Amino acid sequence: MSAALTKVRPSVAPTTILNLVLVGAIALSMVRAGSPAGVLNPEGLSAAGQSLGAAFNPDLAPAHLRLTLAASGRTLAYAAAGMTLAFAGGIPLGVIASGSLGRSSRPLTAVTVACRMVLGLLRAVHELVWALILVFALGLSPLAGGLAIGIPYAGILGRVIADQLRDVPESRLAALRASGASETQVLLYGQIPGALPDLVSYFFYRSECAIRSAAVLSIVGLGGIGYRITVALDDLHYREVWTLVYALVLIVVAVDIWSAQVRRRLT
Amino acid sequence: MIDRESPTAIRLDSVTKAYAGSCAVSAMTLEVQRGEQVCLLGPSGAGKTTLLRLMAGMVEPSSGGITVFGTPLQDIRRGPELASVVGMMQQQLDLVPQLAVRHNIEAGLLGRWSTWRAVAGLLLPVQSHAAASAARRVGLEDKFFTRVDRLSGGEQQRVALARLLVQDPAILLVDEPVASLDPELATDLLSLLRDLTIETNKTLVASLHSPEFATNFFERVIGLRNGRIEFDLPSSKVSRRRLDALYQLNGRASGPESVSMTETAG
Amino acid sequence: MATPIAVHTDAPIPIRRSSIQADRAPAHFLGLGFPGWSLVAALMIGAAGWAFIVVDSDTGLFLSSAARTRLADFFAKLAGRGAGGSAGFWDATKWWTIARLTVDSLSLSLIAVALAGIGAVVTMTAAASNITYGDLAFGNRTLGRAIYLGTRAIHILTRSVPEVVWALVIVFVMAPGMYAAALALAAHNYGVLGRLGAELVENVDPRPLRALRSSGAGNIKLLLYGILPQVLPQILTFVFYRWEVIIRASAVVGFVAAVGLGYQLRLDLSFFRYTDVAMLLVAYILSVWLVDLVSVGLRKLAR
Repeated sequence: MSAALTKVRPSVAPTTILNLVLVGAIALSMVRAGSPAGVLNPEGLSAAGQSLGAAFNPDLAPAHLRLTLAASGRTLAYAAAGMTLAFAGGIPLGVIASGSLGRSSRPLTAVTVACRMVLGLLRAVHELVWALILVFALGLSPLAGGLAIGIPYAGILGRVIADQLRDVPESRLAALRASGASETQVLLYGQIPGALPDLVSYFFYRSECAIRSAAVLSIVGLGGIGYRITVALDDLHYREVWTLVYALVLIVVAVDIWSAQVRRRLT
Repeated sequence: MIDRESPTAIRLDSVTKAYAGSCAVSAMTLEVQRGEQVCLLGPSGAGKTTLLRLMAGMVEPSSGGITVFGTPLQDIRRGPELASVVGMMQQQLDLVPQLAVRHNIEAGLLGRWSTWRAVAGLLLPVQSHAAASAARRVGLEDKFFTRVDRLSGGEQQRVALARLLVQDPAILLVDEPVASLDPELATDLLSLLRDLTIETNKTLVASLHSPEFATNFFERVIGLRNGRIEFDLPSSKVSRRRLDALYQLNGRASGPESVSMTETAG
Repeated sequence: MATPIAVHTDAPIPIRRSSIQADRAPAHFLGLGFPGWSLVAALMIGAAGWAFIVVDSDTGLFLSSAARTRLADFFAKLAGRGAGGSAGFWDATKWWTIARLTVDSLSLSLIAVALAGIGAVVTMTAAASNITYGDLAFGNRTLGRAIYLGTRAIHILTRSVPEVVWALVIVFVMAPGMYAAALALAAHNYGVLGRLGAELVENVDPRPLRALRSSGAGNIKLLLYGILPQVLPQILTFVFYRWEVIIRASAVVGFVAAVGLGYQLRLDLSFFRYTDVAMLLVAYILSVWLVDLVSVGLRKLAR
C-alpha cells in the first residue's frame, strides 16, 4: 500500500455501526427461530402443486360465481363503510391533533396531545385484531366488519392529516396571519387548501388498502372473500380458492387504476 | 483483434449525424494519428459533443463509417473491449455523488474487474493501486475517502479525470473539461491532461471553446462550425482571422460575400 | 426567515398558496373534475356500504340494547371485572410468558423485514423499464422486456395478496412457526417494496449510469456502483417504514402460523380468558410503539 494512503483511513461512519447492530439483531432473530431445516412439509408440496395447478382452472360454475360475487360485495361494503367512518373520525381528530386550532390557549394543547395519543392507540392495533375483538364483543355482525376497518383507519388517516397540515410551510401562512386572520381562518384558507391534493390522493391509496383489509378480516367469520377462501381451503377446493383470489386481485387492480388516475391528475 | 499500434487511431469517413431533421455533424472526414493531441474548437452548437460521442461509440452515425485502429467501431463489442479502446469524460462529469472519490475512480476499472472484485471493492477497505496512484496523480490523495458530493467543482473534474485514467483506454475523449473552472484551475487541469497523455503514450481528443487554451495546450486544432470542419491546422498556424471567422455570430462567414444577417437559415 | 411579507390590510382574497403549488392545486376540485367526481363516487359507495350493514345486521346502526349490554360486559371483563377477577394482572409468570411471545413477534418481524428488503433490492432493477429495455439497457432488449414484465408481475402478485392470505397458503407447505410467519409477512411486503424500489430506479439520474456503461460495467456492477448508491438511502427509509407495518401485521399472521402474540391472543379469546387478552393487547401495543420509535430514529439516520 502506498505511503500516501496509509495516512488517510476511511473513518467508520455511525451508519456502519448501525448496520452492524441491525444485522446482529436479524441474526439473533434467526437463531431464535431455530434451524430452518425440517420446516418444509413434503406432503404439503403435492397439495401446493395441486393448488397451484388449479390456478389455471378456476371454478367458474354459476353457483360459485354467485357466491364469489356476494363475497366481493360484502368485502366492498366493509371497506366502503370503514373508509367513511375513518373519514368521519380521522378528519376532526387529525385537525385537532395538528395543533392548528389553538396555538395560544393552554387547555387546547392538552386536547391536542390527547388526540395524538388516541390516534396512536387506534392505529397501533391491526384491523384484523380489531375484527377479532369486535366479533367477540358484538357477535358476527357486519357492523363489526365496518368498525374493524374504520377504527384503525381513522387512526392512520388522522395521523396523516395532522402531519400534512403541519407540513404546510409557515411562509405560506404568514401573509394570512399578517392580514389578521384568526387561527380557524388560517386553517381554512391556508393549511387545508395547501394540503388537500396530497390528502385526496392519499385517501384513494388508503381505500385500496381498505379493500384488501376487508377481504382479509372476514376470515374471523364475517363472510367476505377472505372467509370464503379459508372455507374453500379447508375443504381442499382449490379451484374455488382461485376464483376468489382472482376476484380480489380484480377489485384491487381496478381501485389501483382508479386511484392512479386520480393521483396523476392531482400531482 | 484491435491493433493498438496501428498508426491511425481514429478515422471518420464522411460521417453524418442527424437529430430530428437537423445535422449535428455533416459529411465529416477526419483522421487522428496515434499519439496526437487534438482540440475541437468552436462555438456551442458546432457539433463538438456529438463528434466526441460518435468517436466514443455512444451514438451511431446516421451515415458514414468510423474506424478505430483500423477496426470498424460498430464491430467492437460494447463493454470491456470498447472501454479499453476509447474512454470519454463527459461535460457533466457523471460521477455518482453518494459514493466516495475512491469508488468513483474505481468505477473506471469495472470493465476489467470480476463481479466479486467489484463487490469486495464496495464492502472492504481493499482499494486498488491503480485508483490510489491515479488519485495521487490528480492531487486528490487526501480526499480519497470523501464523498464526491462534498467536493468542489474543480475537484470533481479531477475525480472524473482519474476515473478515465484508471479505465486506461488507448484514446481519451474529453468534452469541455474546463468549462466550469476559473482560469488558474483550467490551466492546471489542461497541463495535467497533456502531461498524462504524453507520459502514457495515448491519443487525446478534447473539445474546448476557448481559443487561448486550444492553441497553448494542443498540437493540432480543428475548428468546427455548424457540424462542418472550418479549418484543421497545427496550433502554431491558427491565425486570429480564422478564429474570428469561426466565432462569427450565427456561425456565418464575414466579408463581402456573407449572407445578410436578417435572412434566417432553413 | 427573511421572506418579505405582503401586508394587505383590506385584502379580500388572501394568498392561498405559493405559485409552485398553484398549478397542481385542486382548481378543478370545486368545479368537480375527475378527482372531485371520484370523491363523490367514493362517498356514495361508502353510503351504500353502511346501508348494506344496517340492512344485514340484526344490531342495527344504533346498537340494540342487547348488543350494548354485551359490549359493555366484554370491556368490563377485559378490565378484570369478570369471573376470574383481576388476579391475572398480578401474575409475574404470565407477564414473563407474554414477554417471551413479544420477543418472538419482534424476531419474526425482523426476519421478515430482512427477507423483504433484500428481495426487493435484488429484484427492483429487473422491474425498472429504463435498465431492462430502456435507454440504459445492455444486451438483448426483448429478453430485457420479458424480465421486466415477469418481475413486475411477481411484484403485483405478491403485493396484492395480503399477509394473512400468504400465511394461509404457506402453512400448507411449511410447518407453522416463525419461518412460515416471517415468509408470509415478507412475501406481501416484498411486493410493496419491490414496486417502490423499481420506481426509485426508474427516476435515478441516468448520466452516471451511462458513464459506467461506457467504462465497461455490466448489469451487476451497474447496480452496485451506480444505482444502489443513488437509491439506497430512500429504499432504506421505505424498509424501516414497512417494519412498522410488519410488526402490526405479525399479530394476525401469528393467528394462522401459530406463533407469537397473535396465536396466544386467539387461544385466550377462544377460552374466554379476558384478563390474559387484555395483557396481550397491552404487550402488542407496546411492541408496536417500540418499533415505531426505533423506526423513526432509523429513518432519520438513513437520510
